[in-house]
Amino acid sequence: MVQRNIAKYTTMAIMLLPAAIIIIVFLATPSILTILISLTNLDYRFRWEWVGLSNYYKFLSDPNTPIFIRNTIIFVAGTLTFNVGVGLLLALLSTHIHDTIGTFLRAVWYMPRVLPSVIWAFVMMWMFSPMDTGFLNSILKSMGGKPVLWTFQYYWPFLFIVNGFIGCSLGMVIFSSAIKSIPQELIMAAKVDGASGLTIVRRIILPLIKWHIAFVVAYQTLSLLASFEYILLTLDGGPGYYSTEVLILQAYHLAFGQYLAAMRYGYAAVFVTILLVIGLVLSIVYWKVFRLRELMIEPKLE
Amino acid sequence: MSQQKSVIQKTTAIFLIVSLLIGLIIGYFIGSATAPAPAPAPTPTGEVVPKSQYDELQKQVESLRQQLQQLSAQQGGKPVEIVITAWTQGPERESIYRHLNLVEAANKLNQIFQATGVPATVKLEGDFSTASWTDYRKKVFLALEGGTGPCIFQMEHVWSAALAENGWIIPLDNYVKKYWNWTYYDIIPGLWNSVTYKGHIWGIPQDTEARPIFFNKLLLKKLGWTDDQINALPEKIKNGEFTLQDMLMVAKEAVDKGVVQPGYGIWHRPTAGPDWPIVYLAFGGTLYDDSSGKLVADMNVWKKVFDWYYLASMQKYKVISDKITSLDFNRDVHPTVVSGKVLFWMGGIWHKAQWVGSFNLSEDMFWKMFGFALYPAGEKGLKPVTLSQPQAYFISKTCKYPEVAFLILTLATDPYLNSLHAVKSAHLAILYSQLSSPVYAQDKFLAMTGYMVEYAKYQPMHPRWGDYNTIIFNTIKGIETGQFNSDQALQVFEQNLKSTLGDEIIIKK
Repeated sequence: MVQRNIAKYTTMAIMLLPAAIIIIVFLATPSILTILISLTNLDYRFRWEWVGLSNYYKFLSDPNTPIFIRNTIIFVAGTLTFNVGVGLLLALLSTHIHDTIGTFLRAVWYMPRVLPSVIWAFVMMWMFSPMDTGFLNSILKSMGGKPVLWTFQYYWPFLFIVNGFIGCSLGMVIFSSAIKSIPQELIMAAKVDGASGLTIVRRIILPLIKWHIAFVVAYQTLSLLASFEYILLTLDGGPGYYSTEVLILQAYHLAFGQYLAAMRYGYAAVFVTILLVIGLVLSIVYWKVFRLRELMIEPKLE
Repeated sequence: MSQQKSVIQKTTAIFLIVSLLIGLIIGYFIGSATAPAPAPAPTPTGEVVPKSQYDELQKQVESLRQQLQQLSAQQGGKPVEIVITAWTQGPERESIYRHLNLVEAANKLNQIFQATGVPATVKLEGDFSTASWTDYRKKVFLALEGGTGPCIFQMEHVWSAALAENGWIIPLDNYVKKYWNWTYYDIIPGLWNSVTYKGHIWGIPQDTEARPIFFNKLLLKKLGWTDDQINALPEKIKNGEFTLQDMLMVAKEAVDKGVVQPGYGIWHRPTAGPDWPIVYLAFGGTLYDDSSGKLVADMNVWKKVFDWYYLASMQKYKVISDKITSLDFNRDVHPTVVSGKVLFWMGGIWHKAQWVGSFNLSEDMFWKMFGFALYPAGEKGLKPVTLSQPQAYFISKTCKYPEVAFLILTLATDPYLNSLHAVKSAHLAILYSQLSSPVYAQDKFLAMTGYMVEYAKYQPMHPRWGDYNTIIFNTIKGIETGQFNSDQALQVFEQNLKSTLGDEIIIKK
């Protein structure tokens, strides 16, 4: 009996070993190292000197910190809304039209995610360029209108669009496959009862895919907290004084510099550690609020 | 029904695969057609060592010869094979001579060793990087810290401070003194300041440049200036008669009269970089205190600088556009300046090479459209300035044959070789003899901008200068985009300096 248990646990352990190694080497160890670095003043001198919590005091007392926090909240909230909203919209649209066209539509909307980020950022910067030579502005001018200062005045909507077009594709794919797996009898029964399309969406489809929505919200919030690639490639924290500088982007700038390599690794690690803590707290909150444990036990939609 | 579907699926699949293959083939041909042509190697100029100086040469390499003879005897009489590794950086391909000149110098050194009977052969192995400065520097620093760094590497002179503080490079005073008569007597004296830190020489200047104000002659004419007035402008700036205030007023006049659009009076780079402290230097500010080795911020002078930028911004005289810092350098800024829409351009001399090379500005049109001068003095009584950022060669502490590496640097610091680099990449001369070298003297633009080196200031050689510079850029960005007026800017500036630099900076009020 005991031997069978040992055999069972050994097998489990061996099965889990590759994944465990990857998690320990690539996730756990760097996290611990980052937290340790935040307690030192590691910089261009590459000397490991413990300074305790003084970096954290500097973070709390720096007048720029509230700006970074405000920007992070705006960025995450706005992009998340765009991602989930547009993802849902696209999923609903593409599943209600002819199957092939729907698939084609989804494939096209998936393309920005597949494009190298530099190219996507380049194209977006050209499209929304505030100069007269920008794509949208040339069209406006040719129609007799005045050029609009897209990236300069409306930088948050611009960032939501740039990041959103990439992010919505994940939601779209997950939601559309969820919608497709709703048993057709439910929809047909509702139609027989005289329900309009909108009612079907509100009363049947959305409640049935609420687990998927919860998952996407949780996943994308955490992913957006650490996402700075597109901000770096497009506005680089501008256009004004730290207008779109989010916490993780400031960490990048501190560590890897904005022309003159700053190499303030110790202080940058503080930002990353704080984001790590926020991420952990949010994960726990989502776990409880969205009852994700239930989600993981049984598949919610066959 | 399903058979039809599978046929459609198959044809779609085949169609996609075929178009992918065709795309790959097209891409390959485009790639090979647009690959940059390799730069030609420089031809040596004949005699390396004049016979008359042969004895002198023998004496100077004597100690090196004895060292290497010992080493060679230990190895059983074979000549010592010395391999010197060198890392150099553009990023632009036009600066390839930074690498090629070292190769040529190694060849010359072999000839010298043969002629003076030194039992060694020298080979130079190296990398010319076209990556961004940040990536190149990261690579070098990590290699130096890990002990696997190259023997010779090139970097901006400002890094002498950080490199020396970290103990990664060797001081070169003794070698410079020993080989002074080979070439170092000829180096423009001001350049030594750019590589001297805490009383020692840490690098050998490789090239230098200047950052002038380019003014649009055609727009000045539209404003009502005569040809004589336009041609006299650089001289008036040099004498301190035309100040930054005057420049601001001329730009304001151009905007008010409609000669340029609002915001197109004065343009500058849209990114962080070495140019940002120049206006502060023009107003007489200092950035570094030699005695304490700390950075300096004179708040009275910074107030004048921020006042100037505030008046110039779209909030007041509408001379500097608020969009500049959100534009792309190559896609937006250069084409706008080249198309003649901007009155004053705060640029660098290498921009001329870029405009003619990559932005369709003909050489003819350049001379018709642009004049260039130093940055005017901030106010009457001060001097005009410019900023130079010389590149320098450094020798790392882990180099096994530092003297041989130094000899390579010495032989690369040659009027002909350096002129090849200067002309191709539009950088300025570092040796007086270059000014009369036929290669260098041919270039009219370099000849006309050479005088600027004498007015050039350098960035302070402090390891935390990068942070100071970034704060300057961010604050001015805030003024131009309308977030701060000049008093608020001063406040934010001081807060940032204190919180980022602490006691590494002296704030003078």
